[in-house]
Amino acid sequence: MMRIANAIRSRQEYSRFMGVGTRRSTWLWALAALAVGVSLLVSACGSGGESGDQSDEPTATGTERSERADRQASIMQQQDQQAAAESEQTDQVDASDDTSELQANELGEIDFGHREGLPFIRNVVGDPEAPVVIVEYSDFQ
Amino acid sequence: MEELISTGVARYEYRHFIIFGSASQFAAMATECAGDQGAWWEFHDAYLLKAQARTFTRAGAIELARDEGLNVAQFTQCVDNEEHHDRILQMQQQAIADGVSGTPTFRINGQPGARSLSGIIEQVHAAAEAAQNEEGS
Repeated sequence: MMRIANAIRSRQEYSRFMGVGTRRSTWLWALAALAVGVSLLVSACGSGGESGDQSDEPTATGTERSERADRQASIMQQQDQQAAAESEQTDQVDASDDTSELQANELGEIDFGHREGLPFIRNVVGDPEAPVVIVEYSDFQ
Repeated sequence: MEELISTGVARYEYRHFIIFGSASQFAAMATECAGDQGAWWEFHDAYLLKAQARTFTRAGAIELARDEGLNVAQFTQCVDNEEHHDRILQMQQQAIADGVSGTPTFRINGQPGARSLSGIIEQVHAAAEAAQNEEGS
C-alpha cells in the first residue's frame, strides 16, 4: 500500500514536475523560438537591408555612373574646347612667331642682283608686315 | 614681283623642300649657315641661279663661304654640326602639311599659287585687296 502510495505520489510529483517541466520547457522552447525568430527577423531585415541596399545600390551606382558619365562628358567637352582654343592659340602663336622672329632679326638690305635694295631677313625678302606672303617651296637642284 | 615687294604689298619667303636627296639637303644647310652671317641670298643665288655643281660639296661650300668673305671656321662648324637641320626639317614638314609635292610650289597667303608669274602677280593683287577690305570692315 505504501509502495502504491509512494508510487502514486512519485508519479504525481513526477507528473507535476513534468507538467511544470513541460511548461518550462515549452516556455524555453517558445523563448528559444522567439529568439531564433527575432534573430532570423533581424537577419532577414539585415540581409533585406543589404539586399535592399544591393537592390538600391545598382540604382545608386547607375545614377552615380550616369552622373559620372555626364561629368566625364562635360569634362571631355571642356577639354575639347580647351584643346581647340589652345590649338587656335598655338596657330596664332605660330603665325605670329613667324612675324616676331622676323621682327626680332635685324633687317638687312640686299646689295646685289635683281633684288638689290630690298630689305631681307635670312630667307625672307620684303616688309615683314606686308599683308601678302608669297611662299616658294623649292629645291636648289 | 620686285615691285610688289619693294612697295610693301608682299613679302617673299623661300622655303626648302628637299626632293633631290643629300646634296640638296647639304646645300640647304650651307645656305642657312651662310644666313647666320647675312649671306643667305648670296648662297641661294650661287646654288639656284649659278647652278655650280662644286658648291654642293663640303669643299665647294667652304670655298664659296671664303669667296663671300664669311667667317670660314664658323661656317664650317655650322655645316659640320648640321646646326640648321631642324629648321630645314620643319620647313619640309610644313611643306608636306601644306600639300606640297613638287618644286617649285607657290603659296599666296596660304592658298595655292598659280604656275605662271603673271598668275601669281594677279593673286597677290587680289589677296592685298582682300586684306585691305578686311582691315576696312
